[in-house]
Amino acid sequence: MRIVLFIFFLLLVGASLALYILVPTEKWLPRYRTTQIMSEKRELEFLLEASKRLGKFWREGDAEGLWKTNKLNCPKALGTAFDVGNDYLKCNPRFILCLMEEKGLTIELDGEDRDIFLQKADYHLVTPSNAHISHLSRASYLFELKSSRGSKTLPLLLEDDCREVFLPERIYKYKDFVWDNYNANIFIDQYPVTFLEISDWLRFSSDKVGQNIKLPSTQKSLTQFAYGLTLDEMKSYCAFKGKQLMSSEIFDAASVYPADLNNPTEEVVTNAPYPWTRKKKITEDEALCSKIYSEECLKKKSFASFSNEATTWSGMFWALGGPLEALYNPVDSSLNMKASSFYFPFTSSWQQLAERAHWEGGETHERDFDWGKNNERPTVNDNLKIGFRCMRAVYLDERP
Amino acid sequence: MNVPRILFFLALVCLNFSCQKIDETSEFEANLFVSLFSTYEVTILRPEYLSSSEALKSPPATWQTLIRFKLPSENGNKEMTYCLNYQMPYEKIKMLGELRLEELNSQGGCLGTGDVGDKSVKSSLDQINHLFIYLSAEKQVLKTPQKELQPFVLYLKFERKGNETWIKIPLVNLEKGRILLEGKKYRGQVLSKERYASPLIARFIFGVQVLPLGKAERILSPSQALGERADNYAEEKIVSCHDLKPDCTELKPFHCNECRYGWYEVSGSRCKGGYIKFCGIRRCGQKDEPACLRGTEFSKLSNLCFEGSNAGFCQEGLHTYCDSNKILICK
Repeated sequence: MRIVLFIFFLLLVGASLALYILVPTEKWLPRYRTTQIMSEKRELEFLLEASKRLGKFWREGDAEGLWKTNKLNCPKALGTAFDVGNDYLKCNPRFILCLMEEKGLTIELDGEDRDIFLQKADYHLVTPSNAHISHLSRASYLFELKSSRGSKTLPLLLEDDCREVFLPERIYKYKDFVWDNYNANIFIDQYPVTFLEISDWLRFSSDKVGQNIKLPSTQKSLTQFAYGLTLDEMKSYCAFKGKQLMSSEIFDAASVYPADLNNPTEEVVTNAPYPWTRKKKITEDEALCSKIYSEECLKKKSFASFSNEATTWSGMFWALGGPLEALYNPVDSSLNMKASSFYFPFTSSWQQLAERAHWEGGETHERDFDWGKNNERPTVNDNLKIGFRCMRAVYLDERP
Repeated sequence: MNVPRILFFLALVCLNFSCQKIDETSEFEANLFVSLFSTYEVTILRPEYLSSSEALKSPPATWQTLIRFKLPSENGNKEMTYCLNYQMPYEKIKMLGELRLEELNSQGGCLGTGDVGDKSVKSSLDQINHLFIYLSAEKQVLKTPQKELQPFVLYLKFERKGNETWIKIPLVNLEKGRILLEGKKYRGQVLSKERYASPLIARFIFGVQVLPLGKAERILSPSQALGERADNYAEEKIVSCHDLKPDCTELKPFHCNECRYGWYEVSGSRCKGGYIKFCGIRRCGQKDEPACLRGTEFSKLSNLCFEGSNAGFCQEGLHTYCDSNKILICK
């Protein structure tokens, strides 16, 4: 029996050697490559399916309410559930980290399961100012995906675009100027920039600007609008993201309700003082705290970040009340701050659209502001919190 | 006793590998998939055959480039080009077609005539007949055969060895404005201009891009983007990223995506798609800087660049002035 087995073994070895010698190397090697390329494709299919899932979470945020109901618990990345608008978890890299860490991701394709994980439990904010990626045109968050069976990683770029809105093309009025934004293709930030975004800028920018900015320590306070920055730091932050500091006329265009919403060439543009109505006077009942977050509201409820309660006709939030906001004024640089804020009572003349005060752009002491001819000042004089937003133009294909 | 058993097992494994049948079509598809998935621009060189009900056939027996693909290099920082070439079948002499994926050669040519061993040839598949190509930014539904085709996925349908075969390649970074027909240039993104529109771009995965497989460190090389934070027009220290003549003819195509610190447009002419654009932080309205854009619809004048023109905003005390570059500036 042993002899038979031995002969059979010799025959097998002989046949294998003969095949190895007779089949040319070029034919042999592609066979090896075939296996490798097929498994690489299979690997990619799993990673792309995982990218689809993560892309959905990226755009939609916590649609299932996992974080708010404490089913997703990441105190380090997101903090423990607190009062914040739903947009907080949209385009939020920390939410992706939390999901991958806590829930994990298993992809099933054609009956086969593979676990997908992050190569590093971290992300990188890339923009044309800190990375050289041939097709990168806007700020994106970079993650590295890997599967349980693969050896290669897939660098995934999630675009930071969830909280911008298009400024519709039409004729607008700013002070005495009639202007239009046809073909300008402007996208504006819906919310003031938060400390979370500033912390990513400071971490991933090689610029020296911003080194003196003090960041709050808790996740909840990081979601607040960013304050304590100089005008130059605000401009630098926006530039890092490929944007510009919000312009005064654009802010008004996004806030003032048009005379005729359906007629963009309507030249008679109202200077309505409130974003939701053409009325010149409003009552506390219809707007206090829900539409204008004024001084009185500080005692009633905290100013929730990413709250989309007070929207304007264009989709921008909190045009009135909330924080003071620095602006770029192309006509009068001495009027470079939205004065409507929680520093003034509801009845203040500042609580109207297009009302601007002056900020020197550096410190925030009493001497650094000019409150205009009425000299109506806030009750707090020092360390006023000044927020800001960015905007950008996009070059769009105009083919019919 | 153990040694012969191990040798026996090894011999079996060896024999198994030797006899493994190669599925050439699957190999070709895998090569296309892995090579092309990060494509961000395609140029269709035979647009008459795109999503056509007619198979590719003319001119017979000649090599034709069907599609040119632009994608990031392995390090992500350069652009590389692949071509999908096809030798048309010739029915009269019973010659079948061949598909080849080739890398752009050093001479900038995409249509290699070399052998399959040619380094530029990434993969090839012969004995092809009745080839159809499909690619669209929208979902397509074919009637015959009834099939739903996903957006931003390249489909190749052909006959090989008597079988109908479909090859499906997702082009993950592709967007609508970057599906170009021959002779056309990239003209910017295609986004909705409706009220409440978001700038998220429709791709294979909405708002998501990828880079070639490999670790991310390699792509985080220092930025070579254009412009500096302190750049300004007044001191002539500025980089233009879209240059046009006042008559709107293009001197430099749009490449403002390469600006390190964003970009802005200036006033001076009434061109569709805007006028000259510069990289950097906007200082418009200030002394010796471009006037801030005021649009084009409020005025019926064809020439917007002249002293005192109201086509731009300036800071109080300054007025508009048309400089030698035909840009409306504030003086």
